Amino acid sequence: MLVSFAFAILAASVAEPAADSFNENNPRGNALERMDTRRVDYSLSMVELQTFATDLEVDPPSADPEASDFDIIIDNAASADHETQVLTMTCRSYRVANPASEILIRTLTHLDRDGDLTNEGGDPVFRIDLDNAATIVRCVMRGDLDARCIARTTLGAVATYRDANGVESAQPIYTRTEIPFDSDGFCGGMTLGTGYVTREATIAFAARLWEIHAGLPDAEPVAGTPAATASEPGVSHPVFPGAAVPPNAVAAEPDGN
Amino acid sequence: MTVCSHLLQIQSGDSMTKHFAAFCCFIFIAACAANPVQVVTPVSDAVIGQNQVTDVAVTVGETAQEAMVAFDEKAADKRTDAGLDPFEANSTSGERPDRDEYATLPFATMLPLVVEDVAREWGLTSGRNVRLDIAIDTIKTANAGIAAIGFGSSDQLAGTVEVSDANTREPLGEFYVDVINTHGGLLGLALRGGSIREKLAEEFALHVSRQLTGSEDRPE
Repeated sequence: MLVSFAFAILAASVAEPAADSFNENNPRGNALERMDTRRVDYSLSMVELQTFATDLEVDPPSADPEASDFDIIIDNAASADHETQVLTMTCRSYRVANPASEILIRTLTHLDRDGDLTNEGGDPVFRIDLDNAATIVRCVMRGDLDARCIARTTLGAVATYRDANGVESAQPIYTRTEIPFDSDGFCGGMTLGTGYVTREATIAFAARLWEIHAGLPDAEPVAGTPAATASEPGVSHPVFPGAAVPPNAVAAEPDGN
Repeated sequence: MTVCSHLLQIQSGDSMTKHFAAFCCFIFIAACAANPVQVVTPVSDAVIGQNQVTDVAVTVGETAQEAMVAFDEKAADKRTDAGLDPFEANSTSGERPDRDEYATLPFATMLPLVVEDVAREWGLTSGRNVRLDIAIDTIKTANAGIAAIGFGSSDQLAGTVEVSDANTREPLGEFYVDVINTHGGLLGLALRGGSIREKLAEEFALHVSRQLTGSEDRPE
């Protein structure tokens, strides 16, 4: 372990800034360059995400939600941006900037009726006030060059929902998505893992909007999906009406309350 | 720190030597600065020092499962050697086992008892009833092979502790405890004694009580 720790320190100290160029023939290489920046890159395509899901030993990423019949307005998406907190001694020196607002906006744009989060096109409509976004990571060494990490992203907000009849109600939303992933002895998968879990968290958040819109109570598993449990993070995934979900799609806990 | 200042004052030698000295210094500082507790959400001021632990739930994550099975098998062997009946997880007797018996219990049964004992010793006997959800990520004992070749090896117990109101489940705080006891060489390993699992649990519980009391020192 000492040897891998020494190499991890050296690897961190010689990291070069990410290159701007994109090599279409080597998506892995591009991602490795991006990892050096210690900033999650949400510009990865679905194909790239699926490739890296294999490297991380996680299920394929969930499909983006399809357009709903309601509008979404979010004024303070930027408050979702944060830095991950590594709780374990292993990989604690790694700091990852997580611009979660980028993926949250993208996911909610997919879900929005007209794909415009600034446009209130009529009822029903959600106005979202984010009040919590955080990612914590725990990593455990399983060997000199093998670490298993567990990332958990929480998103909290108050959603003011106005239904089709114009009746308004404030709904607290709290999602907690926890997924284990494989890293290597250099903590190299931290950035990709953080991005993967955060993306799933935004999809769980979107699923909760669907549930509220459909009149489902809090903490109820979505019909047709197995219930997620704290001891088995990542065993279920949100289902959106009409959305194609890949087999073994990734797990996200619809509600962590 | 004195060691570091000496290392960094190396003037002679090539740059490789200086880099190595800086690296050793970094390792030294990192080892000294390691804090066993990382706070995610501070324990609520409303309950600090005014709570009692009434529920403790322990889950063992996938990263600790394999080691935990071995530990529990060892505890079962100790139970047999002590002439006790096999442990029944769903026993309805409701009797609290004696401390002497802790070493013969499965970890998920033993840790809550230790945490409750230590919390009481720290004066947490009244106030709000709190529940602790402990998720263990790591449990391991020092590697004698590593110690034999001169490197230090460590016993470790690490996991997340979520504090909530025992009645309403209102979240009251969250922190991560990472107990690492390093032993230098075979001599260090020999000197650590037995009951490693129980010692790790005691130290883990100590950090939990520190968070719940908001104090580094045990109250008189």
